[in-house]
Amino acid sequence: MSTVSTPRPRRTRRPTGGLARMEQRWGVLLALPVVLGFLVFTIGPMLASFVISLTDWTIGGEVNWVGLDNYRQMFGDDALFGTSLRVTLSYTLMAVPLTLAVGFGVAMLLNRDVRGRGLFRVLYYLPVLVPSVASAVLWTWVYNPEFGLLNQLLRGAGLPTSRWIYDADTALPSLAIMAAWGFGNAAVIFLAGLQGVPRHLYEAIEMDGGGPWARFRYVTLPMMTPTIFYNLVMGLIATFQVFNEAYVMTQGGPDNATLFYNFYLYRTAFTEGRLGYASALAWVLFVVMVAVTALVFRSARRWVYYETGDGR
Amino acid sequence: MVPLPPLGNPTHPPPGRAGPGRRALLRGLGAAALAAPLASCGFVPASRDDRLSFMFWGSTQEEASVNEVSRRYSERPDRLAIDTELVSYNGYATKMHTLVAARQEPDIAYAPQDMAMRLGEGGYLVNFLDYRDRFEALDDFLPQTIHYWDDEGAVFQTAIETMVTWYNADLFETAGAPLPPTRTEDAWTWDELVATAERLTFDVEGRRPSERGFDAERVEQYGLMAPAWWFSPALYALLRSNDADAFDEDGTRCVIDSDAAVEVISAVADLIHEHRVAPSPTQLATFNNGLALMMRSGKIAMGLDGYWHLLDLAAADFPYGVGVMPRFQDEALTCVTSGATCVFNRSLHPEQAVEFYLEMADPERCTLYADGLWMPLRRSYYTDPRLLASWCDTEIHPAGFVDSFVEPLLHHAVQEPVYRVREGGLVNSRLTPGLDPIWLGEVRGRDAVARHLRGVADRVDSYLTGVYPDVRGT
Repeated sequence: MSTVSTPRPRRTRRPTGGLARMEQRWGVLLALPVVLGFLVFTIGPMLASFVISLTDWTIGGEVNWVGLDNYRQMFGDDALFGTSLRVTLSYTLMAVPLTLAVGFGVAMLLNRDVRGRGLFRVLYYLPVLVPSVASAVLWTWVYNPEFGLLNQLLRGAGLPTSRWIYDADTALPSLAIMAAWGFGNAAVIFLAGLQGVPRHLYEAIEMDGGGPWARFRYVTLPMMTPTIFYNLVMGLIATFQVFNEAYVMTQGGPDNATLFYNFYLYRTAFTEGRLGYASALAWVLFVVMVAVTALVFRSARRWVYYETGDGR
Repeated sequence: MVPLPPLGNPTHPPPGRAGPGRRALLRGLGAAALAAPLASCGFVPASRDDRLSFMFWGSTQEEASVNEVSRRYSERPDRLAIDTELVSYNGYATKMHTLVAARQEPDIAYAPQDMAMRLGEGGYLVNFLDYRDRFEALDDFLPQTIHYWDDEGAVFQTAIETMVTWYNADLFETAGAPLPPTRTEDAWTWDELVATAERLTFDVEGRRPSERGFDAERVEQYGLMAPAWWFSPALYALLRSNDADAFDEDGTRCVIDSDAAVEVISAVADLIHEHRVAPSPTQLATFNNGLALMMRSGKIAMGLDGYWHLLDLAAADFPYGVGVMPRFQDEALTCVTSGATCVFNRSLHPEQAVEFYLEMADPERCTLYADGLWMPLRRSYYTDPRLLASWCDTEIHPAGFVDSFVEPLLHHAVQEPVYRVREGGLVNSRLTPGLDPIWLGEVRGRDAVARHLRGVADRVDSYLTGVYPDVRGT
C-alpha cells in the first residue's frame, strides 16, 4: 500500500524584520539573568518558605505537615511574637520620624549658603558610610553607663545619667537615637529635593510679604512632600527589618525590650533550628510590611503634592 | 534618511500570535522558580572518605591543643588526617543548623546540649554505646556524662565542668576574712557567704556596705561576683541546694516560682541590690573582662563559677584559691555542665571518629585537662590516685583542689537541666529575659519577686514539651 504523504500544513507566519527579531531575542536574553535570578533566588525561596511554614520542620527532627498550626501558635501561645512585633513597631514609630526630622533639618541647613558647605555635607554623610556592625560596636561604647561618652557628658554637666541600652525602659529609645545618627542618607535625598523647589515660589511669597515661616509652611513643605514620602517608605521598610543593633548590642535584652522581629525570627530559625515556625514568622512580617506600605501609599493621596499631577 | 517605522510596527507578531510563546516562557520561568528550592535539596556533596572533619568552638589555646591531638592521631598507622575547624561560639548553633539542614555535617563536632539531644533523637548521630565492644574506655565514663535521648541511644559530653568558689587569696588576707572551705561538710551557709563578702567589699573611701555613707556608685572592690543570670550552673546548684528546681519532673511545668526558688533568686539578687557586695549586670557590662582578670585587678574578691577559669587564673599570676559552693540547706551542691561531642551518621569512618573522640577525652593525650580547662570524663581519672595525679597534681591546681572539685563531682553533683528538658536551649532562652528585671533591681523584695516569677513561669510553661530519659544511675 502506498501512502501518499500529504504535506503538513505549514503555519503561515508573517515575515518579521531582521532587526526587530534580533531586538526581541536580545531583549529577552539580556533580561533573562535578572528575571531568572529573581525567580530562582527570590520567588523560589519565598514559595519554598511558604510551604515550609506549613510544616513543623525543626532541623534535626522529623518534618510533619501541620497546616496553619504555626500561624495559630503565633497568635495564641507565643508571647514573644507579640512582644517582638510591638518592639519593632515602637522602634519604627520612634526611629523613622526622628531620622526624617533630623535629616530634613540638616538638609535645610546645608541648603543655605554657608562657608564650607561641601565639607559639612561630607561630614553629615560619613556615618552612613560606617558599616552598621562597626557603628553598633561604637555606640555600645557611647552608651556604656560607666565610661561611655554620653554619661561622661551628663556627669560633667551635673545632670542625672542613664543606663541607656542596659535598662528595659531606655534601651529602645537609645537605639532609635542611634538610628537617627545615620540620617545622612535621608538628608542627601532631602537636599536634592530642596534644590528642586522652584525659586519663583519663594519670590512670590516674599512679594506677598511672607516671612521665613510662611516660606517653609507654604512652599518648602508642600513641595517636599514627594521626597518626604519616599524617605518615609524607605525608612519604614528598613526599620521593620532592623537586626544588627539587637544582634551586636543587646541580644534582644534586657527583658526582651529590644527583641526586634527580625532578630526573633533569626533566633528561631538558626539558634533554635525551628525552620517551620521561622518561615511562618517571615510570612507574617511580609504581610505586615505590605499592609503598612499600602496604607502609607493610600494616605499619600491626602498629603503628597505632585506639581505635575492633579494636586492634593 | 531612513524613515522610522511607525508605532505598532507590522513586523512585530500580532498579540494573538505571541500567546503560546509567552505562555511557554512563563511556564519555563515558573518551573525555574519551583525547581530552585528542590534543586538545592538535592545538592549534597559526598562526605570525604580520606579525612575526618572536626568542628568545634573555644579559645585559640583550645584550638592549639585540639590540633596537637589531631596531629598525633593522624600519625598513627592507618589513621585518617583530621581537618579541624574552629568556629566562634556565638555563631556556632547557626553554622551547625545550616550544615545539618544542607546535609553537610562534619564527621565530628561539638554541639550545644539541647541540639545534641535533638540530633540524636532525629537519627543524625552515631550512638557511641554501639562501640562499647570495640572501645573498652567507653565503659569507664561517668554516668553523669552520658545523656540518653531514648532507651538505647546517648550522646557523650565533651568534658566535665563543675562549680566552685574561686577567690583571690591576697584580698582575703588583707581583709582578714576566713577562706572559703574546701570540704563539702564545712561549706558556708548563705549567711556566712554574705558576711564574708561584706568584709571584702569597700568603696573608694574604704567604707564597707554596712557603714554609713557607703557609695554604691563608686565601689573599689566587690566581695563577690553573683551568679545572676540564667542559665548559670552555679545558680542552678544553689537552687537545688534549697530543694528547688526550674522545671518539674515531667518537664511540662516551670517551677521557678516555688517558695524555695523565690528564696534563692531573691537572695542572689540581694547580693547586688540589698547587701551591695556584688556588681550589677549593668556595672559588669562596663568592666567584666573575665573572672580571672577581675580578681587579679582586685575588682572582685571571689566568684561562684566553673573549673574552666583555672586556665585563665593560672596565666594571671596572683595567688588564687578554691573552695566548695555555699549551701542553702544541709548539703552544698555543685552542678555538672558541658556541651556534647557528636559523630554524625553521615561520616564514612564513624569508628575512627569515635576513636578520635576518645583521644580527646584522654587526659594523657590531651593537655586541656592539666591546663585547667576541662575535667576528665572517665571515672578512673578520679578514683585511681595515679591517674588523678596525672591531670591535677600540677603547679596550677591549688591546695584543696581534690576536696573542692573531685569529691563534690562524685557525691554532691546535680545535672544541668538542658539535656533532660526537651528543647532545653529554647526553654532557657524564654526564661532568661524573664529574670532580667530581678537582676537589674527593677523587681525587689520577696513578695514582688514571687509575683513576678509566677508570671514568668506561666509564660515559660507553653514552651515545655517533656523530657528525655537523660542520665542513668549516677
